[in-house]
Amino acid sequence: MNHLLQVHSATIQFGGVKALQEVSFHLDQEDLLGLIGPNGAGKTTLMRYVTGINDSKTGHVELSGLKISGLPVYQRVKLGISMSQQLVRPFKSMSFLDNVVFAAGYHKTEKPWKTLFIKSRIQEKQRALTLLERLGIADMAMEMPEKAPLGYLKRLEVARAMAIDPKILILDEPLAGLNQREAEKLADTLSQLNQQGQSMILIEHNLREVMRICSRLVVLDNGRLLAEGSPKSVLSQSHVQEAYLGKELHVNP
Amino acid sequence: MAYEISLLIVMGISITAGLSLNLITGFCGQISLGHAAFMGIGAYTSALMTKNGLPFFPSLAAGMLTAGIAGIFVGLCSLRVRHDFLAITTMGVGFLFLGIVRQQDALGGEMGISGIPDPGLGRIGFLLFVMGCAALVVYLSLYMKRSWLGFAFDAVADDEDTAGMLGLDVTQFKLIAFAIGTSLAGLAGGLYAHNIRFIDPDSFGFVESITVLSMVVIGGIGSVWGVVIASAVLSVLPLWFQFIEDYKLLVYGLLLFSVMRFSPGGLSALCFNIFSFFRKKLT
Amino acid sequence: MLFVELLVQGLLQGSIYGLIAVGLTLVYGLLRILHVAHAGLFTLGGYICVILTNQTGSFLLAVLASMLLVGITGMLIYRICYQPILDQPPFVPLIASIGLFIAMEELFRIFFGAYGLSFTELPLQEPLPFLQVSLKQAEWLTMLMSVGFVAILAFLANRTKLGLAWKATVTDPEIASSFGVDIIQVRYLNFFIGSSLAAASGCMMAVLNNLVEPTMGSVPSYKMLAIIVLGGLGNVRGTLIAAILLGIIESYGTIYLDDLLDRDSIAFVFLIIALMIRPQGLFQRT
Repeated sequence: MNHLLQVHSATIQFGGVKALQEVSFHLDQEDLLGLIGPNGAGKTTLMRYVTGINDSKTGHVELSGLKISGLPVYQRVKLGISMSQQLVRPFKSMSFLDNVVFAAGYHKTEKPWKTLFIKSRIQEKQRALTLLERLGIADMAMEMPEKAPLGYLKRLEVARAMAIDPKILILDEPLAGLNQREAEKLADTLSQLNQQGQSMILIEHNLREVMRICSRLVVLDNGRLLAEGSPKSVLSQSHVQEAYLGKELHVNP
Repeated sequence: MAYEISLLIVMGISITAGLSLNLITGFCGQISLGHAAFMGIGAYTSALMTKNGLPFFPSLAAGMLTAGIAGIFVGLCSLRVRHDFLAITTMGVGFLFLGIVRQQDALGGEMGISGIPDPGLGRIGFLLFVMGCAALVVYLSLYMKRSWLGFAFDAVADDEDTAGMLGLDVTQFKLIAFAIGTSLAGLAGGLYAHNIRFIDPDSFGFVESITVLSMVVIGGIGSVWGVVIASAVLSVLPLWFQFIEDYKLLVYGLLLFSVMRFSPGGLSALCFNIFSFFRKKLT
Repeated sequence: MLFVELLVQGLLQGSIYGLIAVGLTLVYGLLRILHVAHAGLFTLGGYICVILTNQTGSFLLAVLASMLLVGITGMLIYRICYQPILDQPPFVPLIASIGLFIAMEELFRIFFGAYGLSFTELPLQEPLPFLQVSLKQAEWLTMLMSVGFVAILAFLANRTKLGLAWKATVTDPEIASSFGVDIIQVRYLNFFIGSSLAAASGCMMAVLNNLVEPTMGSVPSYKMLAIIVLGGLGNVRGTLIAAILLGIIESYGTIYLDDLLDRDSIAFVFLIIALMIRPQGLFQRT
């Protein structure tokens, strides 16, 4: 059976540290997969492996059966993988709106030489505004990212990642920096998006929302896959509870 | 009259050169410290062709082509290195060009090429042609800024990794910037060669690269009108004021330093700040 | 014996490059600024040395004074020129530095004339034989200095508290600061040491050529950039090795590559090829 996304045995080492050890998982069409685990478990590293930022010595990544390991980042993005990063990187020289307008113009920037002859941004502006509204940050449309609060910048990342109409939308801690009300609202938006057909992978620490909206969970701990399955079944496993909560208690004195 | 015509021609050529670098460094964010080498390639190519009897316009075009191709090669280098490293690499390319030209007798060696034929347009005709080229490059720059090419350049200049994460083929865009920018430099070089009708390696050395860069930087990196004004003024300033000729380099040096130290966005940023300041006062 | 002669020439030239490049890599390692004006300090060092030697008759005094004065000038340059623009994109301090360097060269020309200055009595010219090679004292001193200073720096970096502070600041200024390291002091010291090395190099160049002239920093200005990149930015030992290597390659290269390239571009061919193969430089960054 062809999964939408299949990661086989990812093993990544940074210097002496094994960030990931033979991690495999899959994502199916219309899944809202939650990727959870304590800090340093390797969640971001795993996603950066999928997008192509990090390299793995062994294993590979398949998108709808097509092997994409070895392809540069931008090509994987063109094939349909999009990620909103934990460390936000908005284009500082562009307004909130323009950040998304640029992303929305992905069709137009596909053939570089042709871009000289295309001027219009009207459609993209409309689309960008809609996305900003959907994420509740339309009031910042004309502002520059420089002094914006983190919660806004996070949602800008999400808007940008959404603007390229990806097959798989990967979100790295989009709820961080939001208060409870905002987090709930964003989680609802993401859930709606998923119900409309968007396949998603969500890295999150906010377990409350994760439990609420995710259809499946994958748990990482210390670079290894700990558990996989429905939220209820995964979180009822004792070694998951131990690893996750035990570690958390240990880390926060 | 002849003197004014010469001044205007020099201005036109400088504007073309300045805007050509502005495309690479200002629009696309790729710092280049060896830009004069591309002018040199255009100059030498077109000069050698006209000296061998070929007509002016095709020779000029050939100069643009060779400069553009060389530019693509250097652009490929820019894919491996960034920022400071790129600055040093492009500086190296500039010296490499000089180094090769100096040792080749076929290219005139140290003595350069003299007796470059007159383009046959008459002095005024040549002036109009140069002005036309400059105007064309201004228009191209302004148009490019508004197009999606300019938008892509903005993204690459701002954060090329993030641009890649949004699916942009950053490589292609960098190469385009280099190709267009360097062929326009080749145009400026060809015009220069047929204006002065003598070229030697020293005309396209590191100091010349810095001179063009200073026009871009002082005008305001990325600002088309800023660069136009800075190029025009800086190119003729030493010619206007004889006493500056002697201190030309000192003035350049201090100007470059002061602008970077006090207003890194160049004069265009300075003007913008002054405008906003007054606008705030009035509202 | 041409082989040996070329080798010695290469080592000498490499030593001069080495002193000036090591000074620069200290600055770059700490601040990531391509401090082109460093070459202007090289020239300044040479000028001060010649002037003071001619005035006082003591070469040693002149060298020490030169290193001290230029070191202080370096700190001033940091404070006035670089510190306010550290948060700007990298091309800003680079171009500011280039502007400053050009201005410095012109000031030398305007104040001291375009033809330069020479020693009234050229010091350290006695030939000194060692291991079948007979060089002048000045030439031995130059090579000794380059290795000597690098050794001292290595010792300081690895065995003293100061060196630890420096390494910490290079790796991560914020963490270093939270450990109580005074980053500003480290930077000033860095500029002082780096600049005085440039001065030392300028002094030796003055003695070797019996001439200081306004543009003597031009060629080193760009070669030192190539060298620090090849040597691994901030890597003092690597930089010296790269410098000496370059000196030797230039020496032989001018003979064998004469038809293709002139001497000064050899550095850049070396650089471009090296960067294309290893974009991070030949040696590791410290």
